[in-house]
Amino acid sequence: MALEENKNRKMQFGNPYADYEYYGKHSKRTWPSMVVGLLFGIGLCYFAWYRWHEINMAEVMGGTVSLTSIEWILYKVGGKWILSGILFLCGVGFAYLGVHNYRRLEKMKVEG
Amino acid sequence: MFFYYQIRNHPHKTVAVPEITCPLCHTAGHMEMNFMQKYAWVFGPIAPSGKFAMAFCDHCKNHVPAVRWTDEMDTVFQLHKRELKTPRRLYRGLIVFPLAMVAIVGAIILVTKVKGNKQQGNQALVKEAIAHPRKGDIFQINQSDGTNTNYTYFKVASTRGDSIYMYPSTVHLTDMKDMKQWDEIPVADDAYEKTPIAFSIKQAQTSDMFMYNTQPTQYGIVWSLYRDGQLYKKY
Repeated sequence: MALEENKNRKMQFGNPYADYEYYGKHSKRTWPSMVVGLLFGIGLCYFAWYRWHEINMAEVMGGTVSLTSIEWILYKVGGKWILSGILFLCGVGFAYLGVHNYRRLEKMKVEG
Repeated sequence: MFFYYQIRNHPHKTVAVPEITCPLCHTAGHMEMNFMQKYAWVFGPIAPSGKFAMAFCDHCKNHVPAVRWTDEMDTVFQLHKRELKTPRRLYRGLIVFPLAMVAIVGAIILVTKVKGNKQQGNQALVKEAIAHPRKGDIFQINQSDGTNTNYTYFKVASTRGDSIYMYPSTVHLTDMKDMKQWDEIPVADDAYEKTPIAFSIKQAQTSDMFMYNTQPTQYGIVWSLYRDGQLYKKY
């Protein structure tokens, strides 16, 4: 999408000029955003599983687990599945955004 | 905690680069490069970031995406970038903010020290007043029997040897909310009882409080001294 078109979009997230700012040869790379997105997304998915496992163990074995206030609200509303589910979805979302951005830049590389 | 800041662009220069062919419309002679630099802004520029350029083709009226830049464009960009110098004003925050922090911390230390010095002076004066009381001196007293506490005053009546005779006040404040009222020292005689109580000066000097000869033990911690119309607070 050309900058002029991008500038006129009703909704703007972040820097609309980001794709056009050239800092050096590394600006031509399309993969860094994908790597960051995937790493962050996979990390979040692992954290979701870890939290689920921790809470599950506490529920089964009768131990205690420390939760933040937001986690506590989510746990009270929908149990460990909601809590871990939201974290997992966020992780998937980040990974998707990383891949989406990579594909968008690759498309831009070809089409301009 | 929220920390509000902006990222702004400092425009360095715009140069025409007719020797470059537009990678979008493949036409030469219409390209220009706009050199800029980002910096953080909080009440002023703080920290500059890297320099960058945006390329625009006047023929196809498009900006060139960074992923489409050619090696030829990169060479020109590096050549021009080398000439650019970051303006000193963009570093202002890096000097102003630490200085402001030092000034704030310094002011706090100074105020604490001045206050401490004043308190030290008052503490010495109260100590001296206990050792050599003058008739009419009023002590602000935090009186307690170990369980109940009240805030009152002792007015010096006379001294004889190690004994100091003082009229206890009829005013007894029990709530900490009345601390402001406690500082309004009652000077008139009718605010005090008619019979003085004797205390040991030596004991008051060592323990910093007037001890009653009663059971259970009652004591009055000396909080401040009112002398010649002025209140000297220890704390």
